[in-house]
Formats: sequence, structure tokens, C-alpha cells
Amino acid sequence: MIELRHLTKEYEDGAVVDDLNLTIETGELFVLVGASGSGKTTTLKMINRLITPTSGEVLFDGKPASDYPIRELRYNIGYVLQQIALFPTMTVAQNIALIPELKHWPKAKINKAVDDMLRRVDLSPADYGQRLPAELSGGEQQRVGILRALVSSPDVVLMDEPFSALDPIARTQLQDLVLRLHQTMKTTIIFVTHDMREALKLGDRIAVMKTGHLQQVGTPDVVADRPDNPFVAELFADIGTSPLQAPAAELAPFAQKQAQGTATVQAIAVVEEVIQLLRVNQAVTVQAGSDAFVVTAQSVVDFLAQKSDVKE
Amino acid sequence: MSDLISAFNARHDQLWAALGQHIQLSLLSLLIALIIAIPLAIWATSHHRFANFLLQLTGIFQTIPSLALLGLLIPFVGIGNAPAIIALVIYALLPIFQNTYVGLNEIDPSYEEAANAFGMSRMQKLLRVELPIAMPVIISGVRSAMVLIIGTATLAALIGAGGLGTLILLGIDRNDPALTLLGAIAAALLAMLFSWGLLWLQRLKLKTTLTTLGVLLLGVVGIYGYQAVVKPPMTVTIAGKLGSEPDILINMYAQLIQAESPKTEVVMKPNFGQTSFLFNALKSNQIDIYPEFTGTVLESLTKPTAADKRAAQTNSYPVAKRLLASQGLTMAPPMAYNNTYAVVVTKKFAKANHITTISDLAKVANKLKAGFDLEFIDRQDGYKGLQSTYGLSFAVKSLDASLRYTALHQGTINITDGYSTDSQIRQYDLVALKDDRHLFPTYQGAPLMKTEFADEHPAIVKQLNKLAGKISETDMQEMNYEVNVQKKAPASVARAYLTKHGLIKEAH
Repeated sequence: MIELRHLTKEYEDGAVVDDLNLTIETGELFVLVGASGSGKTTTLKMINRLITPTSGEVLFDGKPASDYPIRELRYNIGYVLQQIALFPTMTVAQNIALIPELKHWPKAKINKAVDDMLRRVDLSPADYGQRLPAELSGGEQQRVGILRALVSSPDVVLMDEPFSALDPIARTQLQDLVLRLHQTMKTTIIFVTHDMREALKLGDRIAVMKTGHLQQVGTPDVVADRPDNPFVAELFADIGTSPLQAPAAELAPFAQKQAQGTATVQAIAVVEEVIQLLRVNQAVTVQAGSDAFVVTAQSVVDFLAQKSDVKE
Repeated sequence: MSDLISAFNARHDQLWAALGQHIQLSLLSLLIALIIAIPLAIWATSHHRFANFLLQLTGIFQTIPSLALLGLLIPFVGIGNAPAIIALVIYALLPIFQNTYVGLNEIDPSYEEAANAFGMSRMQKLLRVELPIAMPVIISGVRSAMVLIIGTATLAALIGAGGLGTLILLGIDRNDPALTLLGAIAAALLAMLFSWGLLWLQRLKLKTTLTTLGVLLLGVVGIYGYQAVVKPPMTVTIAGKLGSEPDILINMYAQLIQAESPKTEVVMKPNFGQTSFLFNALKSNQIDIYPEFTGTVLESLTKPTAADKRAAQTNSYPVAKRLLASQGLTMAPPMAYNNTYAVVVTKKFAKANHITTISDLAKVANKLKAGFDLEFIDRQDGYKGLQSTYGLSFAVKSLDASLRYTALHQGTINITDGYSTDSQIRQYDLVALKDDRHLFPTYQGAPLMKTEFADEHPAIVKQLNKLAGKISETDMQEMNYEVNVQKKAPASVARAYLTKHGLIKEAH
């Protein structure tokens, strides 16, 4: 269990984190979410003492972090960076082996652990182990970055916006990987992101921060459905309720009966996809089981107009 | 090319020895520079204000001209290896310091953050993360330093530290381009070889690199240590200035000494450097004997009064001897020849116009086309003196010293200045005119040593005195010709003279 008590960090131009109180349960995947300047990364770095708090404290199982010898503390806290920061002069295997080596594990145990970790994420040790980081794609690099943090089974892993520099496909794959690893290894993970969708997908619980203050803590359902204040509501409002993400089936009231569709989508496809098809087709057929209707650009405009009416 | 090959064949022993000294000197300097600059740069990465100061300081060091730096060091550390190594280290500091500092500073801060977050100690970060990442930049600095050191180390020959510069300077001095080229090519190849070797080191792991450097350090230190320990107790060190003449003379000294006491170890340091280096080396006991000229003593090594100067005009040796004695130095009686400025014409020209003395030139002044060295034209005891003392006046062009004999030989000019023992006088069938009004100062050669040394080794002084009054100008011209033009070894030329004149017995 990790407790943040009255945690505060002030710089010359004011507080970045202001009197933050949080409790993170053992084995939890806890997401800190907020825009830039919300203090989420500063909070994360105070947990492994990369940043020293101005006041307040972080407790690990009831004992203040400052009471632990700093290197021993950090040996038990994995760290994944947005910049990935695999050491460029070391091979993939050497990067993963680094922390076990610092912990003086026997050589055979290290080699076995490195191979096990690589296999766990479907990278062949024989093939990938001897490559240098520069020879990997961004997604592969961060996969290794996660393995490096997890290999010695630390009590906690901190992840600081680990996927924000990756392309959408790699991001989705790595999010799935984190969920899978968390399920099997049960490691406590504290995950920082500015992406609300990512927070909702990954978090057992989510803490929303704004300019150094905690706004709400809760499960994804609670935060999304029962926001404590307008800020949180605004933040999660677009997600899932964006008209562009609505299923194509919702376009049915605006169907154009005379039009002939030159392309077809399923009714469960999102409106965004229909718009993409309408760029090159006059009309698109939406197939819903045995039923079908045809929409044109006009249908989509009418649909969006109605949605924005509702919002106002 | 064939000149180069014959120069190589004639001097390969000397080349290997010089190459060995050059490598030893360069490696030791590089290692010392590494030991100073790298830790300093590592320290500076966390003290940025100092880093800027150090960058500027090492930058200033590098702008000091190398000759000036060597000159500045002599009063403090004397001559030989010490000032050479200090100077080379000073030059190598900037590229190594700068590249190490920049290399470490340019590392993406996220690596540092990651290393910190993983609980690495300061030393672990440095050895496992920072130095390996900065290594290519550091190595390229070390390579620049190495090339700089190997190039600058050629100047070490000027202050008696040996190395490939010996060949280069000797080649310049003897107007033997093949020899100069030999030294220069060897230095260039050495620089390339080392540069390539360092590039190879870069590909190795940090641990292997450090081990290799460690082994090199031990090796170099070991060689120096061995040389220091093994040096036999009774040695006499004889050095000579640049050129064939001092080289022949010191061989004569060595042979005379060994003829008398074969057990004495005689160390010869030919082409040791210029006057001031040798003089300082003698005073600081780094060498025991070297041949010097009375004229040089009076002009640059002592401070004669006006009365001394007048007395020296008729006989320079007693004055030089007396002035040196007050500095604790002894100059043995001089040899016969006077190696001074000479006015030189072809024998043909002299015969046709019945000229034997400088005064005789007045008869043919209107026919003279002179080519003089710039310095000679300007000196009171040069062309200006010819005008005032001899009342001569004729057409004069300035010519570089290296060109004047060729010009005379080719007939572009018919009179030039030179030194009375120059081998070209013999080579081109020339004649030095008699200085009948004593315009030129006398430069009589004699062994110079500390009085202390002379008192302790009367037998050696007695042997050296055998040369007093010997060796005429023509003898010296002939011997210089044999070494410079016929490429005979100075040792055998010296031996031939000594045996011919009964100064040592025929070798068995």
C-alpha cells in the first residue's frame, strides 16, 4: 500500500502539487490523469524520490519513503519513461539484465529471467536479445522498456506517459500488454497519462488532477458517469458520447431513400468511418443484419446538427 | 624516390631508434594527458562554471606556439624528455578535455533520469551508462590529441628529447630532402597507425579499452623505469649541435676517451639541439661535454666588456676561457680551424683574377655579382663591414642560405658568403678568401665542460687536448663533405682522421 499524505511540491512560481492525499492499494493499476501542468508527473517522481517534496510524505506500507536507503527504495520501484531511454550502447538483453545485475543476481538466474521476459511479450530471445535499441521500432523499444522495469519483480512500477510518443496501433498493443502483464504479475502499477481514453481503458481506479489539485478519485465508471465537478464532467464528456464515435445505425433517421450506395459498412461501424467513405462515394449503404439503408453527406450533416442541438 | 630508399637504407638503424623514442614520448604524453583531462572533464560536468574556465584555459594553452612553450619550460625543467612531455601534454589537454566534457554533457537527460530511477550509484552511472554513450566523442578527441602529439613531438628533437624530428632537422641542416622526407613520412604513418588503433579501441567494451590503456601505461612506465635503473654508473655524455661537423667532433671525443679508458661508457647525443639547449643541458649536468665555438661564447653565452671584445679580435680563446671560468665552466684549448663567415668564390674565378684575400676584391669590384644571405647583408661583421673595413662596394642580391652555393656553382652569381668549413666549398671546387683585415670574429671550436667535471676527470681532458691545434679548415671541409655528400658515417670519418694523425691507434 502506498499513501501520499499532504504531498506538496512548490517551485519559485508556485505550487505544482498542492496538498495531495491518495491511497494506492497493493496490486492496483492506478492511473493519474490530467492535462499538462496538472502535476501528475511531479507526483509520480516524488514517489521514487527523483523529486523531493516541499512538504508532506509518501508512505510505503506505512513507512515514509525518506526512511528507506534511496538505492534500496529504487531497486523495488520499476520505472518506464515516455522517452523510453533504453541505454543505446547496450543490447536488448543487457538493458533488461541491468537491474538484476545491480541487485547482484547470479548470472544464470539473470539469463533465464531475461529470456522468460522476452518470450512473455512474444519477442524471441535469440533474435531480439542481441539487437541494439536503435534496431527496434518505437513500439518494440517500449515493450523492452516495460520488461526492463518488470524483470526483477519490483513491488511497484511507475509509468510516466509511456505510450504518448507511439503511433495509435503500437499504443493499443502496448495498452493490452500492460493489462495482460498486470493480470498475470499482480504488480502495483501507477500510470500517468493525459489521454482520458487510455485512463478509462487501463485504470482499476483513476485520479483526476488539475493544476496540482486532486479533482476526483474512483473507478472508470464512477469518474465517467458521476463526475464530482464540471471539470471532470467536461474532461470525460466527449469520450464515448462523441457523435463521430456513435454507431452508424444512429444515422437511420436521416437515410436518403432515393440514393444508390456505392460502398457498404456494417451498422456497428462508427460514424467517423462513414464520413471517410463519403469522401470518395456519393452514397454509402449501412448494413444492419438483413435491413439496410443508404446515407449521403447530407444525412451526416443532419445527424451532427441534431447532436449539437442537444448539447446546447 | 630512389633518394628516399637510399636514405632509408643508410639510416634505418637511426630511423628505428628515432621511431622508438617518438612512440615512447607520444604514448607517455597521451597517457598523462588522458589521466589529467578525463577525470577533470568528468568532474567539470557537475561544475559548469569551472568547465568554461577550464575550456578557455586549455584553449589558451593551445595557442602558445610550440617553440615558445618549449623555450618557456627550459628554465624550469631543463632540456630533454621532461619539457617535451610537459609541452605535449599541455597541447593534448584541450581536445581530450573538450570532447569528454561535451560528450558527457550532450547525453540525453532521460538516460540520466532512467539510471537514477533504477538506483544506480554515481560510479555505476558513469561506467555503465555515461562513458559508453560518450565514448565515440571522447575517442575522437583522443585521436585529435594523438595526431597533434605525434606531429608536435617532432619538435622534441630541438630540446634533446630525440624522436623523428632528429631526422627532419638533420635533413634540413644538411640540405638532404630525402632525410627530412623520411622523418616526415614516418611521423605521418605513425599518426595514421595510432589514429586507426584508437578507432579500433572504440569498438571494444569499456572494460577492454581501460585494460588496454592500463597495459600500455605499465609498458611505457616500465621501459622508463628499466632505463633509469639499468644506467651504468660511470658514463660520460657527449652532445653536439645540429649538423655533420659537431657529429664528427663528438665521435672524435668519444673515440679518444675510449682509447684511453675502454671501460668508460660514452653516450653520444648527436643533433641534440641548438646552442642554448646544449648550454643549459651542460649546466644542469644532463650532458658532460659538447663542442662549442669561442665566437658563440663571446656573442651569446657570456657578457664580454668592450676591452674583452678588443682583446678577442686578435685571440678569442683566452677571453672566452676566462669568461666561462667565472661560470664554473672549462673550455679546453681549441682546434686549428676557424669556422667563421667566409667570402667564397670559385677557384677558377680566383685564379683568373689573381685573388687570394678579401682586399684583392677591390681590383675586380666592377665585375662582382654578389648573392648574400639577408642576415649577412645586414650584419656589421657582414657586408656592412666589407664596405667599411675593406672599402668594397659592389652589386648585391639577397639569396636564401640554402641557394647560394648552387647559384654560385651555376654562375648566376660569382661571389657569396658562407662558413669556412662548409662541405660545399670542397664539393663545388670553391675557395674561401683570406680575411686579411680580421673583419670576421673568430669561431674556434673546443670541448666545453663543467670545471668540476674537468677536475674530476683529468685523463679525459688530457685525451681531448690531443685535438688542440689540429684539424685545419680544409680538413673540416673534407670531412663534412664525406658525411654530407658521400654519406659516410660520422664515426668512421672521425676514426679515419684520428688514426691518420696518430691520435689513436689503428683499430684491430
